[in-house]
Amino acid sequence: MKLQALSENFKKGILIAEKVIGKNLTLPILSNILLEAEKSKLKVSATNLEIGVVCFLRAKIEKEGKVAVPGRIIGSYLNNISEGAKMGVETKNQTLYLTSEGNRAAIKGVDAKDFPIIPKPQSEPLFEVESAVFQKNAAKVIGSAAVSETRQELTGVYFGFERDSFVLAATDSFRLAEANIKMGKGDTGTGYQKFIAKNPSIIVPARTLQEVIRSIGDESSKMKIYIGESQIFFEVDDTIFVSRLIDGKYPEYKQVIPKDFSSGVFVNRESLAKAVRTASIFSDSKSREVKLLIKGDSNKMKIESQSVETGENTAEVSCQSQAKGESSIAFNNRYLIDALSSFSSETIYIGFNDSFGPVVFREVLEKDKPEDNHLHIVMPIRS
Amino acid sequence: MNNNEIWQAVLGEVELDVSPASFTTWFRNTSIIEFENDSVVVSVPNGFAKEWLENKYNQFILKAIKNFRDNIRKVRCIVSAKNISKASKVSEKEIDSVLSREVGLVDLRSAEAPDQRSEGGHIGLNHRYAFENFIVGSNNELAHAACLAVSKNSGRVYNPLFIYGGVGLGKTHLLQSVANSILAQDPKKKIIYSTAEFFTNRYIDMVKNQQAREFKASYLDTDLLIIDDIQFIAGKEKTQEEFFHIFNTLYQLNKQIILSSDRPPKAIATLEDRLRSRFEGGMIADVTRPDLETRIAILQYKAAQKDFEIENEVLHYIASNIQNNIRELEGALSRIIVTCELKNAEPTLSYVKKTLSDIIHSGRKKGIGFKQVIEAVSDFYDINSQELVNRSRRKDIVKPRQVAMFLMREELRASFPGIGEQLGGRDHSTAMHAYEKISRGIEQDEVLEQELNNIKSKMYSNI
Repeated sequence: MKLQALSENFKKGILIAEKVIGKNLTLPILSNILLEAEKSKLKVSATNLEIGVVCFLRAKIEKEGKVAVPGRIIGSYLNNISEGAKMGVETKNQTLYLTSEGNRAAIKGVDAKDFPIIPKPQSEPLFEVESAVFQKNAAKVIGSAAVSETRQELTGVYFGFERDSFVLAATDSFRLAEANIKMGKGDTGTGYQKFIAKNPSIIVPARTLQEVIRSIGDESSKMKIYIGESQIFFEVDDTIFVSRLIDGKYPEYKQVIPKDFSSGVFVNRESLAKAVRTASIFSDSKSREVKLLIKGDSNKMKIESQSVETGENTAEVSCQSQAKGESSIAFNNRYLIDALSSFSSETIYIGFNDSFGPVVFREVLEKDKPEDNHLHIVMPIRS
Repeated sequence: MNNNEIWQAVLGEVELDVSPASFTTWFRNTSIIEFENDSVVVSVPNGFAKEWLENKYNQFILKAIKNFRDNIRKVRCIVSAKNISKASKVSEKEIDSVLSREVGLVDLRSAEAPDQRSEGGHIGLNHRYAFENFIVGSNNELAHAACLAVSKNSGRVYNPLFIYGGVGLGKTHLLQSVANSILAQDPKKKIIYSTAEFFTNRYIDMVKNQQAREFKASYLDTDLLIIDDIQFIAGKEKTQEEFFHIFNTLYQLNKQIILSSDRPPKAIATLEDRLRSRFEGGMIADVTRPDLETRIAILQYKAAQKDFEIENEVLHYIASNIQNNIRELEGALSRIIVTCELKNAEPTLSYVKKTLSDIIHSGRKKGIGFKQVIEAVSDFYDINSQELVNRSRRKDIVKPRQVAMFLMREELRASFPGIGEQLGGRDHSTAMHAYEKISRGIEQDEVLEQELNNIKSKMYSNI
C-alpha cells in the first residue's frame, strides 16, 4: 500500500474511526483501525461490534493494499503532530510509515485478514435529513438519555416516525427531552411510508448518535439514513456509521408531558442560566438543590440555594410571570443547567402546575409564543 | 438429525479450524433456521456476525455441513435480535407492565434527585416481586391472603402482620409484594423496607455519630414499615428497645407494620417479652414448605417465564427431588436452562437427572456414615462413644443415643432396623420412638434444635 493524502483529510478520518474503538479483550483485532487503499480512495474502518464506521478519504493511491494498525497509537500520534500539507502513507512488512513535513513514524501493524467486515446498507436510504438540523436536534436530546445500563431501552434515543417528520426523545426517568424534525418533500425514500407502517419507532444507542453528530462538520452534506435487520446506518459525506438498534419497548413518555399549565413564566435564558450556575456553587453537595421562587404578581423570579457547608446565595432575574400564586420549585442544578443549555433562543418559557409535577421548558422565538418543536422536562425534587 | 444437531456438529468442526476468540465472538447465539434449496439459513445476533459468516467463514461452514447435506452451496444469514435473549418475549410483557407504572408517569413523578433517592426508604425493593407472580398453594394461602388484605387496606386490618417460615419459601417475596403493590397504588406513600440486620447496623452507626434521635425520626416518618428477618434483633437489647418505641409510635398512628422471621415470635429466644406480646398481637401467618403440586406449579411458572419448554414429567422429577426450598428449586431449573442453552440439548428426563445429580445428591450424605454420626454425637455430649452402644439407660446417655438415632434417620436416611443394629442391636421400634421423640422435641424446644444444628455442623465440617 502506498498513497498520498492531505493530512487534514487523513487525520479527520482516522480520528472519527478511533472514537468507536472499544476495549475488547477476546478479540484484540478490534482495537485496530483498518486502512485499505482502493483505486482512488482510502478506506478507513473501525468497529467494536456494536458500532462500526467506514470513512472514505480522498487520496492519491499509488499502490493498493491494506493494513490494520492500533487505533490508540495512530490516533494519539496524529493528534500531536502539527498539520502539514501532505501525508505520505506507505506499508512495508505490516508496518505503516507516515511521513509529513519532517516528521516520520513507523507504526507496527497486524494482519488485516481477521478484521471484521463492516456491514453495508443493502437498500436505498429510508430518508434524508439536513446534517446540521439533525446535529442540532440530536444534541438537544442526547444528554437526557440514561447512562446506567439497568434499563437498556433508556440508554438509547427514541426515534418516532410520522409521515413527514420524526421525533427524537430521550429520558433517564428524571428528565426528558424531545425534539421534532420536519422532513422536506423529497427527503423520504420510496420505502419510508411502508417502513413506518410496520416500525413506527426505533431506539438507537445514545453512544452511536454521539459519534455520528460528532463527525458532522459545518459543510456536511445531507445525511442519509438506512435501517436494516436490527441495525441502522447513518451516512454523512463519505462516512458511514452502522450500529445495532436497541431491542425493547420505549416507555410511553408522551403521557408525562402535561397538556396544560396553570402557571407559566417567560424569562431570559442567559440570565437565568447564569443565576443557576452561580447558585450551584452553594447548592447542597448531596441533593444539588437549586430553588426557583416564582410569584404571580411579580416580574422578578428568585433563584436560591443554600448548604450547611458552604453558605447560601440568592439572585433575582427579571421575568414575565403568568403564575398563579407563589411557587417554590426545587431542582437538581445539573438537570436545570442541562435543560437551559440545550436551548439556543434568547427567551424561554417555563410551564408548570405545582411544585411537584413535571416542569416543562420550551424555546420562545416569537414574543409570547412557546415553540412546539423542542421541549425539556425536569422533575422537581420533592422536599 | 434435526437442524439443531446438525449445527452443533458443524460448530464442533469449525471450532477446530478457528481461534477460540473468533469462535466465541462469531458463533455465539447462532443457529440454523432452515435449509432452503441450496443454501443454509443461519440466524445470527448482529450484522457483523452476518457479514463474517457469509463472507469469511462460509467455507468452513460449507465444508462441515457437507457431511449432512451435500447439496448446500451457500450460507445465508438472518439477523434476529431474538437470539440475543431468549427471554425477551416474556420480559417484554413484563417491561410493559412495569413501564406503564414505572416510567410512564410515576417514576418521573416520584423521582427525586437520584442521590436523595438512595437515601429514602425504598432501598432493596425489587420490582420483580409482585403478587401476580407469587404462586399460592395450601402452604402459604393464609400468609398470601393476609398480605393481600394489608396491601389493600394498609394499617387497618392486620397490624402488625407477622409472617414466619423457613428459608427460601417466599417470605421476602410476599413482603416486597405488599410494598410494591402499595407503591403502585400511590407512589407518594413512604415505605421503609429493611432487614433487621440493616436496622441494627444503621442504629449502631447513628449512635456512634450521636444521631440516635435522627435515627428514630427517620423511621417514624413512614406509612409502611417492613422489617425482614426480625429474629436477628434477638439478643440486641438496645436495638430492641429502639425498635419497641418505633413500633409503638407507628402502631398508634395506625401505620402498617409487617415483620418476617424464620420462626414464630415465641420461639425467638432472647426477644423481650413486651416485643413478643406485641408481635403476637396482630396477625401471625406462616409459610411452610410447598407441597409437590405447588412446587410443580412454581416450576411451570418459572419455565414459562423464561420461555423454556420442558416436559411435565421432568418438572415432576425436579419437584419431587428438591423439597425444602423454593430458591433451590429455581436454582435447579436455571441450571438446566443454562446448560441446555449452552449445549443446545433438549431437557429430557435423563439429561436432567445427569445435570442435577450433584445438586440432588450433594452435600448432605456425602462422606457421612454411622461412624461420623456417633463420633459427632458422643463428642458433643462429651461421652464415650462406646456408651451409646451399651445397654445403659442412664438419662444422660439416653438422650444422646436418641439424638444419634434421629440424625441417622434424618441425615443418612438409614432404615430403622439398620439404626437399631448400629447402636447395640436395639429393636427397630426403639429407633422409631427415638426419631419421633426428637422430631417433636425440636418443634417445642429450641435448645434441642440448637444442639442438633451444632452437631450437624460439627459432623459436616469434619469431612
